[in-house]
Amino acid sequence: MLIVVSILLILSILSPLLYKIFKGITNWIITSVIITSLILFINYGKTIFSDDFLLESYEWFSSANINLEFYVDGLGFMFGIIVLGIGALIVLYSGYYLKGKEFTGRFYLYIVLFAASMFGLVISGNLIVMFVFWELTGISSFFLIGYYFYKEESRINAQQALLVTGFGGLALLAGFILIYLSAGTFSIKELLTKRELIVFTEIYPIILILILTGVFTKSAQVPFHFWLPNAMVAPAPISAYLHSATMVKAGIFLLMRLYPVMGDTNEWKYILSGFGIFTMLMGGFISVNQTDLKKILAYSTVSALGLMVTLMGISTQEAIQAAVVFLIAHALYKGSLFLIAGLVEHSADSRDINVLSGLYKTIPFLGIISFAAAASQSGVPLFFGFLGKELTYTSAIDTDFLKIFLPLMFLMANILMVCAALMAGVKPFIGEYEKEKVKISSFKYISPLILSFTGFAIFFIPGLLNNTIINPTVNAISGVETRIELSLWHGFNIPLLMSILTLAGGYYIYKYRNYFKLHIEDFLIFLTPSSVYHSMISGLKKIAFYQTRILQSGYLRNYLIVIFSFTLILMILPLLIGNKLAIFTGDLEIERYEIFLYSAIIISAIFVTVTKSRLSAIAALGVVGFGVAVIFIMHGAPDIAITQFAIEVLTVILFVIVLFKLPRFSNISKRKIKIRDTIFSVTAGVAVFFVLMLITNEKMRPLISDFYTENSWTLANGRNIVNVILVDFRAIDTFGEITVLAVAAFGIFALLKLTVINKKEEHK
Amino acid sequence: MIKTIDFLNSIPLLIISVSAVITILVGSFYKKSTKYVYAVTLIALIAAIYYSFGYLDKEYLIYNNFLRVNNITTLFSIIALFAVLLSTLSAKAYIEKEEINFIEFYSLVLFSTAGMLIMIQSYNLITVFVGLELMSISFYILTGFLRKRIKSNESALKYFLLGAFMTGFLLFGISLIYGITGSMSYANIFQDTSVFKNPVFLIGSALFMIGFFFKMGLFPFHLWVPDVYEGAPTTITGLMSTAGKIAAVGTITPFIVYTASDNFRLIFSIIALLTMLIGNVTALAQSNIKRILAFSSIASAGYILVGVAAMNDLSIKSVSFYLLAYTLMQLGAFIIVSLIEKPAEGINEYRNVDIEDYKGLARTNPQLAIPLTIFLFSLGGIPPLAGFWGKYYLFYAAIQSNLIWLSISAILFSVISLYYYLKIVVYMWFNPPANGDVYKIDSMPSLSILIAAFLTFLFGIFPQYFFALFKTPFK
Amino acid sequence: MIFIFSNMVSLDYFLTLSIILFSIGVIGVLIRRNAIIIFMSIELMLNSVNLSLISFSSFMGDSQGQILVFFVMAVAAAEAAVGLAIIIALFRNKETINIDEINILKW
Repeated sequence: MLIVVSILLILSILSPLLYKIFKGITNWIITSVIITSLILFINYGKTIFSDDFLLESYEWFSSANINLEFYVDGLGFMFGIIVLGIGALIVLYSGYYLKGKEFTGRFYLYIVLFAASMFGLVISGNLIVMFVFWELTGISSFFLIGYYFYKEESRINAQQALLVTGFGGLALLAGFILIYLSAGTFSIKELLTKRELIVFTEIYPIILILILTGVFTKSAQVPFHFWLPNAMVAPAPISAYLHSATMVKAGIFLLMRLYPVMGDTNEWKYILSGFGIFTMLMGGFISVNQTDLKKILAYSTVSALGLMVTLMGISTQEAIQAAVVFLIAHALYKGSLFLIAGLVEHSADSRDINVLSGLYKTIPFLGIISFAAAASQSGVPLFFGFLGKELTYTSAIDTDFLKIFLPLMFLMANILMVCAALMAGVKPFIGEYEKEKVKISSFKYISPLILSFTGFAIFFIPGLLNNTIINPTVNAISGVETRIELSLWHGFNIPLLMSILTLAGGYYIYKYRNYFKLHIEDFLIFLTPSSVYHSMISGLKKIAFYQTRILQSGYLRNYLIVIFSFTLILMILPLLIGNKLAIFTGDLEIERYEIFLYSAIIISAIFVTVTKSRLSAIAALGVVGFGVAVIFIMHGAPDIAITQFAIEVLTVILFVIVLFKLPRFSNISKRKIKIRDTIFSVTAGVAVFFVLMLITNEKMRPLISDFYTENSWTLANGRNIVNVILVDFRAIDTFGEITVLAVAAFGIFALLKLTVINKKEEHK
Repeated sequence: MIKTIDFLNSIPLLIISVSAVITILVGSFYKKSTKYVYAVTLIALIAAIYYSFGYLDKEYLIYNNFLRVNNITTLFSIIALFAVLLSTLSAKAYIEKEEINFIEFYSLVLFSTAGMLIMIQSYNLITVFVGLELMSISFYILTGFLRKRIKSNESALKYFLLGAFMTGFLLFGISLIYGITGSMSYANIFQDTSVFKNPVFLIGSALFMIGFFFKMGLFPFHLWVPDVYEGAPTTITGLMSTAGKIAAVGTITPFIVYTASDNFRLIFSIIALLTMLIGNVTALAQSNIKRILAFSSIASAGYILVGVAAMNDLSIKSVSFYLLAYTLMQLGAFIIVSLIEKPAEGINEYRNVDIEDYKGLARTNPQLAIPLTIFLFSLGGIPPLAGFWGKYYLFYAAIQSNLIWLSISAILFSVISLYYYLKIVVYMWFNPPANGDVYKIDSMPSLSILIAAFLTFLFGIFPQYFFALFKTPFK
Repeated sequence: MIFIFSNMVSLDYFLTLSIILFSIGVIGVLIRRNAIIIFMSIELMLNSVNLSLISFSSFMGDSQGQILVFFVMAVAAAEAAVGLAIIIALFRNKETINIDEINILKW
């Protein structure tokens, strides 16, 4: 498995180079490499059929229990074939579709990277590995959607798609981590046996919601569906590959993958079918109200995805089988229809189905391919889509879950899907002939032809298909070894009746669709999450804007105030936690000279903060410094006091020198502001005072540091402890201190150099 | 008494300090020797990193319990040294462009590095303070290094006044811790756990932490960050936002994990939440790339605090891994910004730093656009890049401590951050070029970009290489 | 050489004094507009911390507080030098040191 992924990744990196060398035939080369890897992959099939699964594990990040594991069972096998098979066809098609466009080399890089990551996603055997590939598909699709970068729309929608799916991806990651915490493993193989560790935990609902957020964003379920139609700005092959056949099915894949681990609970059933039903109906309604070919297809894809989610929600063996069959059928016909839409646009210069008509006369062959795909989507007998539809109805009827309601919903959704198929696959080709005959290179037909034809052919080999793909897949999903036959004909029963009703209803709505115009979109515009998304972003931007104006005003004063206020809050919080709010109760017994000293210090300090005179401010600061020095002496620390004196003198001199270069203190602020500031500052100061005073109530514990006193003589041969400590124990600190001063000294030098330079310039 | 063995156990610190002193001395005698000083600085940094690796599995208390050399401190030191190395490597081109190619630049960088090492390895509140100030004062000067540029002056003044103001609170905190525990040494402070609930200790440690929160740029102490990051010379911004942050985080995280009680967890969580919110949302309204990166660095501080708030055995691991990843991507981005920036040429402004100037960069300068895209995606937490594992581990640590709500909101905010990172990517890749300028890139900056981009990938694909550096289980 | 204050109450006085000084410093920082005076107020705060450190130190008979005081003083001096240099550099370019007039960097 690792080999296949590596081949694809290397191919991706090399593809711009390949394009430089081979130009027009690069697509053939890349396609053949992809097909080779597909064959390599199918070769693994033997092991998968005999052992039910294939596990490949490489040590990767073992300390976090994350190994590079690949786990392929029926489910992975089916998805792998879809991803690589359709991928090969898409690359082939792209070569002709994008002929003459700029940056084709890069396009190949992204699309092969996407194929590699999508392939890695479906065969990964470890949740984290899966997540990595999951995000990689998002990134590569981001570049693919933005391929027509000169369009503003492209840029915006590419970003939107990545944001929405990126958000889901991160939610998914959180869900995976929670799974790991509950089950103790990221390995899918092991998880499959640990269902009860997850389903019965308290956090199961959280896990489910997180995972489903990931699923719903990727698989475009309401309310996250809007990115998908918007992503239609991408070139047609991208829409066919990413937005119908593979990437959007990653969510469905994950549902199927995790079904044995966390499926089939009440929460699972109701959430999935709720969102699924809503999505399939809404997608269907919107799709028949569209006129743009690709938009019709996009919304009907949304609808189909909703249908699959609903089927997974039903949680019966039959429903799972229906989902698998439907998924394969959908990948085939929808991929084909998108490719056809691209060719139609190229040959008729329009995607508006009201404009397009009679193309059958100019490009008949494409018309036939298109009819086949549309027939499959509508569920016409003899096409694979018919099987999917039958099974869907059967499973809805056979279950006890949401009786009657569920089949009706399916019926409605399918009718709309038929109508969409007629609009997108048939309407452009029939009717009046308007356009000149256009020649389409026959190579362009290959891919849609193969897709459509496959959808037709496999209808006749249900046994083979069932044995090799569908049954192993269903078994892998449900975790139960059973065998459901896939038959073409179930006899005359209710599902068949419903199928006929579907076709008839679909045709009826198609025919009278102008009367059916519900203007549902006008109504939905209000609710549509697309507008929610946009208003959210512009709202966030607005908040950001105003918030910045207020908080980030650029005024140092405001910064000081904000920072100080929060400091104060954080000082008070611990007191609340400590649950000890005491009030200062000190009895004052002070000597007279002490009173004099203290009041001198305090008064000078206040003077510093209020004076307008420069010199007196400096003088007052000096008084405070000397006063403090005196207290140091009182505490028996004359050496510190002397240092303090020295530094105080130094500082005063510095201030004096500097102040004479600067202007007088100006007083320009308004009185009101001044009063406001004064009140705030004084309140702040008093608040600090009281908070800090609370500590004086706490009994400090007298803890004598024995080490230094005991060892000062023996180890360092000194009696003055402070000196001993300074010169000996703390040499390294003192070294630090000296460096601080050195830094300072020469910072000043560096900054003052300016003076010299300025003066020199003036002289010149 | 200091033993010889103490010196042997602090070789990186000695290398850095001695070379810092030597560079000043050389600089004052031979003014023209910048080239050699540059080489000496690089050699010193590389040597320091080289010797640091030797201490990974050691456990020493040196200089009379003032410094502690063990697995964790060495790891943080290595990351910080590495950040300094990368930014110094690319700095030469920038300071030559801006004509501030003085020897003092390198000396100051080395002094600040010495401060970081002292801070990270400190086992005593005194050394914490000394290291912090050594680093900060060097940064104040470096911020104002473009002396003729008003923005640089202004940012230096703001940084300096706010920083000094916070130092006052930090010191008061230290004095309270000292008053209640009777010691400055961690050995004694950590000994008696009963004191951790004492209100005086709580206020003291709150003030102490606030000092570091300020340096880390956590809400609401982040207000200086955008202004200073915008005003400082770009390569210094890169240095401050990575190495400076690593030092602050590396110093405070062990302290918090040791002393903080569960009650702090809620406060930290709220601060982390608000920081992520403000950082990410505000970045949406910015157009100056330096400011965008400043807000992204604020948001990153928030993510880091998520890991710290977890306060479990994963905290330090996750925080250090995130710091490494963050260093690579943030510094890488700043180096590229510094390369794209144009010299003043008389206007004396920072030119070409608006994201509009990045339009179409992928066409004109793919060699800059590709690594920048990698760094931005990594910042956005997209796998398989280093930033993804960084966030993964942080959120994992938080979830393990039952902070599910915090992790989920962190994830939400990461999505917002994706928006503005993507905006730059979209500008670079999907817009027509704003101008046809092709930027000249010297070999040294491109080497550092290359290293950063390579390691972003390497640690994204093989994160266990980093975790192999954890030799001893923590605590 | 260290002589220890035996009077337990005196710790409270010194602490109170230190807190008062600290609060005045905070008020000064918040109230003034002149960068230099703001800086002087910060110096006041540092002085007050020194006071409390010395008080604790002598009260507990432990020398570590005094050592920190040395460093605080050294750092204060260094900060004074650097701070004044920054202020002068700004003044040369901008002709003002009123912090309300210094806000090019914003938003």
